[in-house]
Amino acid sequence: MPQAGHDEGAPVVSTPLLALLYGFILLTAAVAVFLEDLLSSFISLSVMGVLMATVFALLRAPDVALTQAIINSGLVTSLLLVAYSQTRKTPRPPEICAECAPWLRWRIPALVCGLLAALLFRGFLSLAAGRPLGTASSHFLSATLRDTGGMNVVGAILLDYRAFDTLGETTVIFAAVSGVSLLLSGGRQVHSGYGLSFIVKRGMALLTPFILLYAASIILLGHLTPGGGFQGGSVFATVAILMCVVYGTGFEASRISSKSKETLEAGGALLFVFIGLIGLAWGGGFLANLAGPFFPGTPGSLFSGGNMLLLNLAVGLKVGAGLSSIFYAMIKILELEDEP
Amino acid sequence: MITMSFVTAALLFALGLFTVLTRRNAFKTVIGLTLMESAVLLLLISWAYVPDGWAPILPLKGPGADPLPHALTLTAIVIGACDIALAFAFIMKLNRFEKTVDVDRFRRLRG
Amino acid sequence: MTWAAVRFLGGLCIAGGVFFSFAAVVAILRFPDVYTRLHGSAKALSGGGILILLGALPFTGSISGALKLLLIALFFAVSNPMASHAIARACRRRDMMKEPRW
Repeated sequence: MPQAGHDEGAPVVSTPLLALLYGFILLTAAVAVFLEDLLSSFISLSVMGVLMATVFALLRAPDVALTQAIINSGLVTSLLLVAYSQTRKTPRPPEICAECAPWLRWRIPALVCGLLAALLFRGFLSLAAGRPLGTASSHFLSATLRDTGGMNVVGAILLDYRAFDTLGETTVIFAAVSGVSLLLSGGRQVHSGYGLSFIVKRGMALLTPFILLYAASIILLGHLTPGGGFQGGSVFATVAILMCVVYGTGFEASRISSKSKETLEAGGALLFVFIGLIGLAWGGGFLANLAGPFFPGTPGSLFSGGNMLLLNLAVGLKVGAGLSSIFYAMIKILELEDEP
Repeated sequence: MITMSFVTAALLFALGLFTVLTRRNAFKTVIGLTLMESAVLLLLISWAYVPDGWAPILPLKGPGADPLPHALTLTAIVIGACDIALAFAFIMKLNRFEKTVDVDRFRRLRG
Repeated sequence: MTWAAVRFLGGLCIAGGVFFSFAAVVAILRFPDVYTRLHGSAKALSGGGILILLGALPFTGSISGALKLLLIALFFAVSNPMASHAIARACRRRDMMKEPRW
């Protein structure tokens, strides 16, 4: 697979390969929609996520491909399966509305959606994909090394040029975690001491340090290579989910309690804001990078990019702890105090 | 090639909307939401593609792809995952109250 | 051994990997029983995935890229049998042989 900076000439994206991938994306999406069996449609949705990650990688977006593969195919699928297993005992409803008239059942929605697709396509065509880059994008591509000291342009946009938006994004994660914990509170955490078999436990014990190393390298090298806090934090959350599945929830709760997860999450957000306030106190503005007391370092080394390393760490802590808290809130056995 | 991407994005969005409109299972509604979000992501990334361009990692060897929609797409993926998790929490809580995941049975707020 | 010959061997490995993946799909569709189907589907990653990764080795541009591919192949070799064992054991505990659909 051609990597940037390693090939002889400019790599060309082959159109038939993209057409094949798009065809399969639509096919798996249709399977996920029209299949009666819920588990099969979940797996089909996960496959669609992997195919989309491949398309993103072919369209020269490695950061986005990594994020899509980890979050959409890994994390969302496991949350989907947990939610499905919690609601398994109730009877499944029929697929479509049986009391409605046949023209309302699927003909009118299909007509409306077909019209919408045609209008959308007409609107997308006017986006003029052959245009030259805007002034902001060409400035980002040319001046990132000089302005920030980091090499990952997308990471520099997220953590230096538009760092305030990243703070807003971590607030959204916090709101989601609070919402999920509030909605699913009042339950009792049933600790099961069982896990999977001995083979899986020993195999996981062999693999877990390397997965954690991989997650840490994604976070810490986020200013040099595709990656960053969001992707690495999601891999950390995936490790927490894996340990819960393989070793049983009792083992996991004894290792990292819910209290420490909440502390880590809040600590990540506080670290982010603290770094911003340091820039403010220095006179450079909130979340200032090189205008604050941070040094750019030699380009390409680990300690470069100003405060991007610390911001990546803060975001990684926040996302990892937050997403594993969401998972833990979902696997509790819910008991309502006030039955209607 | 970019025209192909736009066609796929429009079809995916329409498919997601069709799911949300016609299916009764609450999980199918969430699947439709995911499809609509994926369509938007595909649109953003295919719009940011520069012909014969490289990935936006320095040092560049030629023209680079547009990095601004990439940052927007990263944010969109993470926020999409968060709102899907919140939707699951809603479904689980409603399932405890109504003992079903049928969206036609969630009628408590009707006047 | 010229570089073109090594790349040809890499292409052969990728073709073998594609064959293994195709065989795994045929196994899932045609085998009669859940255990035999699991046996066939495990070959998709253990056979197909590892062969494709080994076949992509001559096409990377650097030694570090080749090392990364080897590490991923090692990860597949360790984790895929573990995952198939977990699924098969779950099928055994739920006694899936009695259910005709699976």
